[in-house]
Amino acid sequence: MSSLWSALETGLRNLLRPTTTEPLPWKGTVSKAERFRSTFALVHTPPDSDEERERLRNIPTRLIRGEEKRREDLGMSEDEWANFGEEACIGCRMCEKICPSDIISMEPTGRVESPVKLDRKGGPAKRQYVSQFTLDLNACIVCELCIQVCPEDAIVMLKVQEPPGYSREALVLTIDKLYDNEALDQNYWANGSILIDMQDPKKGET
Amino acid sequence: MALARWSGMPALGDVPVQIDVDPYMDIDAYDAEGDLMVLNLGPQHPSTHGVFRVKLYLDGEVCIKAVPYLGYLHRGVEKLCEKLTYANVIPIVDKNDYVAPMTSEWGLVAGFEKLIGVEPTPRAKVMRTILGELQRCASHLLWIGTFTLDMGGAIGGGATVFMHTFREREAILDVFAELTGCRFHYNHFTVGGQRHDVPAGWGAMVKAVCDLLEARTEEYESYLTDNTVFKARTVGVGVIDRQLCLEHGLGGPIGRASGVDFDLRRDGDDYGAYGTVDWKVHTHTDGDCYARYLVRLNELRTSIAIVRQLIDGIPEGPICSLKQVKLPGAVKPKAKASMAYAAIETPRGELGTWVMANSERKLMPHPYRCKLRPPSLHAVSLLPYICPGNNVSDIVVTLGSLDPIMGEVDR
Amino acid sequence: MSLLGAGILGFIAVNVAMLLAGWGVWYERKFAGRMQSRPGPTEVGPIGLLQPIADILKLMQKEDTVPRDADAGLFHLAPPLTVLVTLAVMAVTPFGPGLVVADLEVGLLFALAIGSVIVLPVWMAGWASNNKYALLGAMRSAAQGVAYEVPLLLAAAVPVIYAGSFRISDIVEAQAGYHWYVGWPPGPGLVAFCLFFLCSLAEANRIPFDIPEAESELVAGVSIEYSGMKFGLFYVAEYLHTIIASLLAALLFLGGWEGPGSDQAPWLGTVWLLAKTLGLFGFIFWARWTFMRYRSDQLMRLCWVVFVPTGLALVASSAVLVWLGVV
Repeated sequence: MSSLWSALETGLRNLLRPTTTEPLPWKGTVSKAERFRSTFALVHTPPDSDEERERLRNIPTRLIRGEEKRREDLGMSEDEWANFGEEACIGCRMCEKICPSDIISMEPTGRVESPVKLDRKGGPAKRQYVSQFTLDLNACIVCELCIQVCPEDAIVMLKVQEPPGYSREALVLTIDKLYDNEALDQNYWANGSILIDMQDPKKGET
Repeated sequence: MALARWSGMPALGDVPVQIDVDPYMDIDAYDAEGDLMVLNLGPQHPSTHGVFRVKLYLDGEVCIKAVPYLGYLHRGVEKLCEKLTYANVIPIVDKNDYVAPMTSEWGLVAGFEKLIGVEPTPRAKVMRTILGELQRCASHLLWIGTFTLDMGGAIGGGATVFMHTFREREAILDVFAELTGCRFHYNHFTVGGQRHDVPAGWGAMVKAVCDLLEARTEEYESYLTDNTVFKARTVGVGVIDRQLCLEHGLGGPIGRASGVDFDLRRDGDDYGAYGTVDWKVHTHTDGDCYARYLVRLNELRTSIAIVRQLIDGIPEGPICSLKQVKLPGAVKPKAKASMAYAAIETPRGELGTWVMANSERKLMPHPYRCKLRPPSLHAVSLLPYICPGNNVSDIVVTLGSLDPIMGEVDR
Repeated sequence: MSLLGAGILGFIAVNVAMLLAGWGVWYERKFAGRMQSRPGPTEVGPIGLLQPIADILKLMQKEDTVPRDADAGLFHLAPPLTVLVTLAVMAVTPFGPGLVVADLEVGLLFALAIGSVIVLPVWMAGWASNNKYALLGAMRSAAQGVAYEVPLLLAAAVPVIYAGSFRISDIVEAQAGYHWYVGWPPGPGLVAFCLFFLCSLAEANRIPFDIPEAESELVAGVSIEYSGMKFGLFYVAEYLHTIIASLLAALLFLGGWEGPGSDQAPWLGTVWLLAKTLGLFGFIFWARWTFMRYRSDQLMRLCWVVFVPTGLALVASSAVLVWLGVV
């Protein structure tokens, strides 16, 4: 009999505790974790010094998805133009190869002369761009491996709390959506360098 | 040929139903008192713990023969292990034992490391032990919830315990989310160590979770262990004797509840930091559902104790002993013509990984064959032996107490 | 009471009972939610008060399926019959001093007899569904329903012996002056109350006795093939049965409509009766969301080995007390 009463009493005790649910989506967060894995973004490499910024200000064109665009085409101010670096993705297909679900596909442009990057002799360097990049979030298992292997830290994982889309079409991230996502969450946690450094077997040694 | 003879009052439950338990019995040769009813505890059922079908031949309410049908959740994981490389197959086996993904990954990675001849770093070893034990807590909490759900129903007392254990499990999953970013299916293990390092404040979080779990485990104990109704449903139900366990290769909580004193954390290869910690293996002799409940509850407490001992003393250093070269096929086995078997103790028993490397002249970055030995498969294979002679109600409770996870059984 | 008055009272009583059953669902879901660290319904209406309406509308717009080889006549007939038979018990229960639809001299006997008919529509539903799970549920329900009638009657015999009448109003009036049979005379009354309460739970298929509709094994048992409003009617019938069992327990053992101020204002008596009914109703929820269920044969063993001898002992001891002139 007393065991039955202790069960009833436990129920009563829990009745008087506050609830532990979050009334999403009106209030509350999906995840409070610092390293929460949400959606993806492709990033640009910004200038890292003032000289670089001045140099970029004076370069009239950039290659966007492999096509030449001028400042006026993109509708940017001079200061925005100075901060606008190059697309980081070089189309090496590492992420495509490592993905266990085969959801990434891309079309590289082939090596072309970059309007921004300089080679060792000071002339324009040759690098590859991508004109199409598709990441199908419908089948993504959020394993972070594509982030880990990117040599240029081009693809990063964001921490946004909202779902990336509400329909199957919306979940197929094209290259434009991926570059738009760059603005979504500036302090992303995961990119290739961070993960590789974390896993470095020589970490902590001087 | 078997005959069921009743003496006493069946309706009162003192039925010494003398059925010769023969899983291979020809059902047409059985001489029933009335018609035999075939009941499909079908793939869609609230208590079959995943998509699982048991065809029960019932004489009244007593089961005469039980035939389990597996394979509803087969996804070709072992074939995928041949296509994907050592580096990127790990997120796939997360989904085998989807309730305890950390130990699923650990099992596979242990096999790969044995094949390649790589040792995880000391920091990784201790981290793995902590994560494995926390995962054991989470898995046993889920089991307690679903076990009472089998007995009390989705509308009823079972749901209350279920919700409470899930509330505690969420605390553990938040700890994992702080470390890896995902609440579930982490892709955290890698060949040679771990992929994420311990963030600041994680130790304090884990200790807080341990305190919470200890307090709440006391609550579960007071709720269930001496509860008249709970004991009436579980004591003497689904008895599995020691010989049957040994024949089926069952070592986990099921075996320990039947008297098989075997725990890979203590008796297997030295694969974690278990040798440095003071802990105890819990066994029981009855082999009924109540014994399995007691073993798992005590294992919960032991896991919390192990985590407490290790959390403050994680050795400094790197978390991975292999450099993650940024190529998909980076990890190439150095050994030739080798195969390796490694087993770890998951919350369900012995999870074994047998992996064979491709040993042709050109070493391939993926295994030639990877066979996973899931503990739940051996548990489910007991059903034809322990179901006959029991009521439908008892069969449901017994199946729940075996803790099968169909993702692991079918792969 | 005139025929018209009885009709109006009956109409009001049925409506109140159905409303109580509907919002009993709301109360149960909130209560169960809070016990489980979650808030329960919060979306529809303030604190989810309009949730039962949403549920009813949802159920009404569902497709009404009939399994292929089911016995269609019995299949369609069973759910409304369950509700009707449950409501019929309210014909003899008084709701206040003088407020009873049919003041039969054998009121309690009538109530318990009608209550035992409830087994039949459940059995009908199980057989007509052409489904093995439903059949198992129906067989268990029939066995349980019939078996638990015996201790229920024996426990209900105690207030009858004390009051000397089957008329429920007489039983309530015999408890006037706060001589409620649950506590006075001390002894058989309390045990009889507990026994009556537990047996009503078993009759209403409530946990810990709800093996006939054990979801984890029988996937909704008897009502497995029913969709839409018919399923809703089974649900409502279960709640109604619980309310009416609480009402009977309050009348027979807890003094009925007696409470502070009920002598002066008879309407206050009705309020007190309602309060006692709802209190017992709430306790039934608390027990439901705490305990697991007994197995079918353990249930039967409990009935025949524990409850029936207790009932017989109660009848004997209450008769002795009356003979001794204590009551």
